Amino acid sequence: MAADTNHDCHDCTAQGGLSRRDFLACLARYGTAMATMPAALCALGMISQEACAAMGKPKEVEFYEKMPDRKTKCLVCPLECEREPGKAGECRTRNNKKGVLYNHAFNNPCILKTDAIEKLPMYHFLPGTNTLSVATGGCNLRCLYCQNWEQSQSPPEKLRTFAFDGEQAKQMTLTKKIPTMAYTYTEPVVFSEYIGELAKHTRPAGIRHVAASAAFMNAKPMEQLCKQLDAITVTLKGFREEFYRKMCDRPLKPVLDSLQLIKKSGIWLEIVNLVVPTYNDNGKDIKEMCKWVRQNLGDEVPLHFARFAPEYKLKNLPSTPISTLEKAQETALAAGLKFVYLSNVAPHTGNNTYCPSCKTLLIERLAFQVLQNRLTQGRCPRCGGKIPGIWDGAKK
Amino acid sequence: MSNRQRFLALFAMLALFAQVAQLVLLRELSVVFVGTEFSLGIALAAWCLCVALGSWWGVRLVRSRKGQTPIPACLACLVAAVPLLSLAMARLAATVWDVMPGTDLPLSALLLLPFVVVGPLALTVGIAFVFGVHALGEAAWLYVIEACGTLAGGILFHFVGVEMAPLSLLALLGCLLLLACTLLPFARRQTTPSWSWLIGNVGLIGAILVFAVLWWWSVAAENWLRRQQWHTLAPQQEFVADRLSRHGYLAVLALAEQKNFYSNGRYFMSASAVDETAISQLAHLLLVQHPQASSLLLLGGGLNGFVRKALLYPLTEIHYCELDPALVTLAWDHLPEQEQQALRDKRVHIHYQDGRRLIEQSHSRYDLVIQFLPEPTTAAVNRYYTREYFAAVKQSLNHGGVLIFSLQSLPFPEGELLRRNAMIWHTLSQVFRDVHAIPGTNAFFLASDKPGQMAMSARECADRLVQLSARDTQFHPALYHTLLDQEAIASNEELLRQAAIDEAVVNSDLHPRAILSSLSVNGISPFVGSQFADWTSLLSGILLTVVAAGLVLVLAIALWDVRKRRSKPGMQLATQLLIIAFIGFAGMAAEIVLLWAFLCSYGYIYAMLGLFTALFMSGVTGGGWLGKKVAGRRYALPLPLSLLVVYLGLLPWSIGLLPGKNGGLWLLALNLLPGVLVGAAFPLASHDCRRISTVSGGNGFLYAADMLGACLGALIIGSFALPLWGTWYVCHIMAVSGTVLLIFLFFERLTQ
Repeated sequence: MAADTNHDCHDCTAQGGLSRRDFLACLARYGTAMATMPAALCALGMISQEACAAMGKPKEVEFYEKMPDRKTKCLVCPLECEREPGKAGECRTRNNKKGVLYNHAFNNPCILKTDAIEKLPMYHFLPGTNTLSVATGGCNLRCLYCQNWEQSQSPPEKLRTFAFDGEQAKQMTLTKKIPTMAYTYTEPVVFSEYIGELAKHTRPAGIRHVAASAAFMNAKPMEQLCKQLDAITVTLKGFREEFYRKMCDRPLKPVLDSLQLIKKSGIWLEIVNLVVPTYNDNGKDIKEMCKWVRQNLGDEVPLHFARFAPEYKLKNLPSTPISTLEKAQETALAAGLKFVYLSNVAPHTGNNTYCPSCKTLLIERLAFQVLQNRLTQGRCPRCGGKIPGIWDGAKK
Repeated sequence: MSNRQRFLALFAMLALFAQVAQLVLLRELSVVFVGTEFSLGIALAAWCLCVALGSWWGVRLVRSRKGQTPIPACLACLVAAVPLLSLAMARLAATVWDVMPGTDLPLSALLLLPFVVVGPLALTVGIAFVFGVHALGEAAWLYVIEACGTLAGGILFHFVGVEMAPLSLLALLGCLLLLACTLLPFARRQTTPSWSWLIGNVGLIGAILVFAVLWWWSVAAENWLRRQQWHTLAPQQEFVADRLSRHGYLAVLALAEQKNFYSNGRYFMSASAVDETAISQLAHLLLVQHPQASSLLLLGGGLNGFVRKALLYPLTEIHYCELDPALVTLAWDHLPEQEQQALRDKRVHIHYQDGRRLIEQSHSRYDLVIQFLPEPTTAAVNRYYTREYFAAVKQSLNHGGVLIFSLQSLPFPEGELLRRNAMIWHTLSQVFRDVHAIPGTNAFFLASDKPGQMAMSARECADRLVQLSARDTQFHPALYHTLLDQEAIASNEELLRQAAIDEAVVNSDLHPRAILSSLSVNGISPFVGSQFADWTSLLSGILLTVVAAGLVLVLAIALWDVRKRRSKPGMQLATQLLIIAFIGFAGMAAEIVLLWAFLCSYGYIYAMLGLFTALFMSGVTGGGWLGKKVAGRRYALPLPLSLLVVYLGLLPWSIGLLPGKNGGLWLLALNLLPGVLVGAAFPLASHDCRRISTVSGGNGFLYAADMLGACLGALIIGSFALPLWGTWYVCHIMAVSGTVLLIFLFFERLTQ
């Protein structure tokens, strides 16, 4: 069908020439460079209509300070961006509009998809169930290997978005019988107001909320976020300040503080560490990280070592060798952690859950799929040992 | 042998050396630019600009020496030494700029480095040429000799130098260049020996010895430099081996049990004896896409275990095509034993040739064509994603045959990534009736003329796996549920279909639109995510506006002059400068268009660069001689301009007429003519300048205009205009511009 519709253009391009359409597009782009009005952007097709509509209804940010000259200081994450009217923060979602700080990533997700909950990765929370994944544009980190950089490094208004509010979320999860909503793919910290809105509408219906986050957030907003969540997978990207600075352009300490705070809040916590060759794959760092996790978060926190693949601006590094991941797993187990997994490698025994006491295979996984779940009311069927996690409602 | 002949011999050797050194440095730059052709445009622009600067500086130096004979031996030493330092600079650039491992050089370095690397040599060559003219007292013969040396350099490099270690090659030729200096009167015994004679000769002998020693140690020095380079680029990996081939630079590095392969500085694959997971998933997803395939053509990607997995299927023939034999030779020793065995299997046929030419010229038919090629960030790779190529694949497929390839994507593509993938989808849909895409960080595009041939559901794939009796303990059929997420496939295909309808853009050989888009999603690090394609598009809009406004202005001035019936000398000189700058621009643009055409036909260009440049320079020399013959006639200058306009107008058709097997020769022949026309225009304009007595220094200005035009031509056409506008538009915009200038010139002549 497309071929018929665009017949004229093809005749032209068949000769390798610039079509009239291209020429007009070229002029349009030239014009839009000077355009500043969102309406104009929308009219020129630079942003979606839904995004235009949503841009008119942002949500006021809860954690910020008003400053002289209608400036604002955002208090959501440790960057604490001070912005003049009309300017957005580093996260690209919170904008100062006439002295009031609004979050534009509200009711306009760019990703809405059903996934296995194991994809976060999250292995000890309703294994084998599906989750409704939600993400908006923007991120407060600048990771060089980001897998979803088109979304995370763009403001919401530049992306194709959906109009999706709390009521619609409730309808969808109930209709599809999805027990959880997951805030993943991009950084939930930048759309925490939206998470609050979705949780407000869906929690009464029994829907649970989980997130995959880098946890680069200030204490008070993090406490608030934890109240809206049932579980979280935190990406602890490395264990050296230098690594965080180089790879993500952000400091490490706020992440460690957040991890301790999450643990105190009582919600279910898992940690994922992407093993990047050359940068954070040395045994000493991994050992120190595992030691810190054990001392500060406990030995029952599941730790996932994920395999790196060349992405975004780190195209020239090879994938992590499997032996490196296996060594990391050994190190973590030797450090006393009870549940250590390997991600992005399948099939591998590192995907499975074993009883820490009797080493019985409890949950057999293949990539993000649960092949079998032998847990009985959260206990090992052989030794009866209690396995930490949220298991009720999980698929057998 | 007279002094004059000795002098000319030295200059021939100098031109030969400069040509080889230029080509060596271009290859080093292509590694820095991870194989993209950007380096070519920027480096040629840098070369032209720096030669012009060198000439200008040379004139000042000659004048400051008040007529004394300069010291050619010193210059020769400089010409010989500079490329060695430039080579080291290119290799150590990542160290100097403190580049993070895994990333590429920052944008500032990418823009600066071509000037730093080729600039000093070009500058020295420019100075040497002026000194040569001064010493010889005339330029014509020196031009001829320089062109001959350049031609010889191109041929030497093409047949011998391309696979030699760069340092050895440069040291050896440097040594020969310095030996040629001993032919000069300066180096020969004088009647009354003086201190300067003694110091000069001792210095020369010393320099020859230094180069000889360097040549002796060049292999060790080469290794040291390479190790330093890789130490910065991949500090944790162990450098294992490398190889130069006529298609680029290959290297193998080791990280734990993995052997990682790099081509032109870009990581492209790993081989490991223990890592079965990724290759098993890939192979069993793709090989079940045909229900009963018996012949498979694999373009690239046969060294990482795919061939071994393919042998588990009831395929009678597996044709594995690899462009560069050096890759297989280099990889062989580092492949696990099981891969070597698989490649030795009697069902496996390895073809060392360009995959596209194999498909276009072979009469074989296949059930499955699977290509594992890099992203279309270069013209060489883009030709595997064009409509012409897809049409050729369709011809080579049996009824119900399937084509599969992968492209960088994201689970949810957006912006330029979506635009690029939709472009390829649309191009594929133009040729095949049934097109599908499996989303992921690498999306798979599948196409067949028989609807329903591909297995797009987990159940269907699992059934086919059983039906084809492909047993693999490393793969669990349940993985198909993870690999084929129905919801993701449906939404991704809808997204691509809609974007394809919105944009309706086709990627073709002569209009390789996917290149710029690909650069901004998967190119050199600073371009990725930078909306690079949008910026180049904006730039092209501005450029088109400037060109159109400039042409209107030129016409307006011409009409004004005709009306007033007068023409001032300043205006006449400006006209000459404009014409010469345009001819320089168009000549360089034509050469780049032809280089791209060669690249699209053969898939490589580096080894041919020398021949193309040398033939162009020969044309320039011949043209110069012709120009001198007809100089002084009233309408002499418009003649080469008119011919160039006709040539540019016909060039796209001429390229379209490429004869199958001798296409390369045809393109080389086409490359000669712009050289002749550029060469002829210079003496004609120079003669006209001399007529305009009130303005002095006309020749210098003309040379600067010529070089500036060529520099802009290389930069604009080579860097972005060709992929953005396509060959037809580039040639025709230049032909129209040339026609306007002709009208201008005609009106100017009327008023004189």
